[in-house]
Amino acid sequence: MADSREARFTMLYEQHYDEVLAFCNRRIDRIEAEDATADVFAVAWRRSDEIDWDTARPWLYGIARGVMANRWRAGRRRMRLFGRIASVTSLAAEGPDVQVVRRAQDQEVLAAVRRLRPRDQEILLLAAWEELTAPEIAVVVSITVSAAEQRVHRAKQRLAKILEARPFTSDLSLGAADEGRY
Amino acid sequence: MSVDTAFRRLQEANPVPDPAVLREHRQTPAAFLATTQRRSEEMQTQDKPTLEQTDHQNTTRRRWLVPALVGAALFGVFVIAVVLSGGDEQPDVGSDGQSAVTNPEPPAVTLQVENSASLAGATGKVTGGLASPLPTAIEFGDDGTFRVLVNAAVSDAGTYLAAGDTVTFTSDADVPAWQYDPEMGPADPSQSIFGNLSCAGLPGEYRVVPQGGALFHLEVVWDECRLRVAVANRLEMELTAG
Repeated sequence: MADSREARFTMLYEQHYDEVLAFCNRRIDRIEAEDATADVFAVAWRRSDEIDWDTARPWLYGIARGVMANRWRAGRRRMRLFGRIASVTSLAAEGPDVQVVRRAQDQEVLAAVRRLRPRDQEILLLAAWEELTAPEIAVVVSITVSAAEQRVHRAKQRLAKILEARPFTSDLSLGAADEGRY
Repeated sequence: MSVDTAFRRLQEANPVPDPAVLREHRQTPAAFLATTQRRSEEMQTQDKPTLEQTDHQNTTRRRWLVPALVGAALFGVFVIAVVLSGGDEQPDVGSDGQSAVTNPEPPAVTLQVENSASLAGATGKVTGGLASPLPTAIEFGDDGTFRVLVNAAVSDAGTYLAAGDTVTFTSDADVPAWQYDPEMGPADPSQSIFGNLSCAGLPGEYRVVPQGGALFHLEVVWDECRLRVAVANRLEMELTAG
């Protein structure tokens, strides 16, 4: 029994550790993300009997949300979601000029996301960055599948509207200027 | 801009497009479990004195507990707001029309709900830091909506309490221990419930952390107030300025 539990956990850890760490690192910095990921799997270990392999990844993301929120509240309260976007390793392969343009574009779209309600932000990022389907998002945020579908759709529409109202410019300070508002 | 274009741009802004790049420092599952086990043992050793003092009579999981806690906390928020604003044009709650409370220091307020909570609601009274106890009741509605009620005398004294009498909260977190554990386990902050709430248009945050047994701590974070609550068959609340 114990062996079986350990085997299940090992499989879960091997399959999803990177994804959970990435999920956290998209929202908080690397060091915090590693600690949060360790917490996530500590919870997963305690609850390993509950693992449903069909929904293991969103289940872990759901735990990660709780863990990160606890950390935000315990530490720097109201730490902004995008305040510490980690440096992107893959960008290193691009030339400096490309990085600058891409950064500006990213800042603009992230600034647009920040204008959404927190609930919409989360749904949207789960769909865009974690590439979750509506049923998976439903597991993460504990809502129905149809509600998840609707929310993703609406959030996409709202994002498009915001971006349309604020067409891309090369102003690098755009994102920074917005941060003060959130 | 089309919806698809906007969404694609957001995808391209992914700060960690490839999770594999983060793999370098990953522990093996066995090493991770060994570390977790050691931490768990350390935590249990630290928590033991607290757990022994805990009243274990009632460890049954109750769905109404969170709204009860949050409702009580919100009521406390309004009470403290009333007390702290004493001396203004607002009347002083619980003072029976006598001199206003102008003490800038936040008072200790205790809300007791002794074994009177049910699926329909909870009753209790707020004492401490006030001239007289404030009988109150919490009625639970659907989907995290509840009303905090006070008796007529108090309503007369502080009508603005009515502005916040309907409170909504959302539990936007996974609720690991509470959903799945038949009894509360040992203290584990990672199993806390947290979420957002609003009252009279004011957003706030709450967090309920199991302390082991039937003991919980509730923290409601408002812009200017901080509350802590301990529950062990009864609800106690202490407020301090944040």
